[in-house]
Amino acid sequence: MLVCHDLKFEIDPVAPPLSNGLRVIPVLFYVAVAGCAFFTAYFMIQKNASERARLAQERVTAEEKKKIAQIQMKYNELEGDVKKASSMIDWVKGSSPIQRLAMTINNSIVKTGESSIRSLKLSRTPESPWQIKMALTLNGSDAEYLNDTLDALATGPEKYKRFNPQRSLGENSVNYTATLIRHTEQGL
Amino acid sequence: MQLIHLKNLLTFASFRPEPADPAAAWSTRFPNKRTLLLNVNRNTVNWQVMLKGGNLGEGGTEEGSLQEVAEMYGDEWKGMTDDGWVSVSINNRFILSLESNLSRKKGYEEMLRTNPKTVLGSKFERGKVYAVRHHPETNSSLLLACEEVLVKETQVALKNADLQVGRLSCGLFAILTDVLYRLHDSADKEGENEVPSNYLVIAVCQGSVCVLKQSEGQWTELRSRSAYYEPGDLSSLRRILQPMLTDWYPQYPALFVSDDNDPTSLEQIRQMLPGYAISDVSSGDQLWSIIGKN
Repeated sequence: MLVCHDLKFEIDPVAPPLSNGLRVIPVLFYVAVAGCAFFTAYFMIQKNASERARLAQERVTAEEKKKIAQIQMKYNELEGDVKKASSMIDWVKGSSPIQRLAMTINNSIVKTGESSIRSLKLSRTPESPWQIKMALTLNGSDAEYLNDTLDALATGPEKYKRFNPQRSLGENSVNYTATLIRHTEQGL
Repeated sequence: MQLIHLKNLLTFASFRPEPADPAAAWSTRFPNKRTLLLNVNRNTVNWQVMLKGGNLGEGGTEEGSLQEVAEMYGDEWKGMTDDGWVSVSINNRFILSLESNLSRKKGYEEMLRTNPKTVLGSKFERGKVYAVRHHPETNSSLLLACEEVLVKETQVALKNADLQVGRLSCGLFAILTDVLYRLHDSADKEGENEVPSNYLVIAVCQGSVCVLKQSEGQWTELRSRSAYYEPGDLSSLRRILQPMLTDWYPQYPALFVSDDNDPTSLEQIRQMLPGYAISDVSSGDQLWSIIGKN
């Protein structure tokens, strides 16, 4: 195209237009702006999503903690029950020789039929569980019945030895205390 | 770097010619803006709005000097444009001449604007501004010399009306160079129509006239008058044409170009030169199309 001539006096210097190759600069700028906008929006969306996920996870964590606390409470209750059961088992296991001892004493008294037990106290200590302190009070003043009982203890299946025996006669009663040790436990 | 440069870079304005860039066509400077086209004659001023997309809008004519008319219509003109840019055609106080052996060194057009003496040599006259159109095949050139005072007055008058002069040209010279461009450069590129070795170009624009004759492939004669005839009455052209046709054969092509869209203009020329092969190469709104697009 023919460009028309121009006679005017220039007031301001006129710069020629930039080459088209430099159009890449504003294009890159707008691409960068668009990229920033896109990634900012993407970041915000991801941030909001992660925030929602975090809150949901916190809710789940709180519920799980609550469940854990409930389970822990039940576990503690169960542990208490287990302890009780264990102590019961221990008591039952521990009371077995006492029961046989009590049965031996009772059978020796019942066999004669002439006397009766006023009181019987059998006790052990944790420090020396093989020692049984016995405090027996029989009705009647005849010591023969006591001897039958002591013979039954010495000849019974447990074969108890007596240590520190003390006997005394009360008013229509015979009191006897001793420390019994099973023959097998003492290795005697 | 100033902020405006950054803004122009980001809006891609830096890749378009600046509004006052004389090396760029008007349509590329303002592709999507309304501008004003002005034609300044001795006693009248014509104007036309160039709309977005290159279509012409409303126009007008007013009697008086540019300074007087600009004072009256300055605000209206300003409102017709987007940024106040004006392309001005002056059809007064200029001289067209035929010269030879003018410098055609690279950058001569810019040198003609900044330091015309280096291009024109002894033909340079102080107080004139110049434009040139070279013959593409010979050492002949058309030289336009316009009074520097008139150019400055025009720029000042429009600046006072808060308008910005994007281009200041001579309408007749623009029409003539456009015809020569179509005749020579377009024909050379297409390779279809050969340039006739003898032709006559009769260009008229707002009362100014120029007749250029080529004989045997060379521009041999040129006659030009500014503010020579009354628009619509071309009878006075006879005094210019007759002396130029003494050695002219009627079958040689004669090209007529006019700015006024008046169908009677061609008839007047044909009555003046009966039997001559005269072709009208004018397009609609010839002047406005040239100064508003090229």
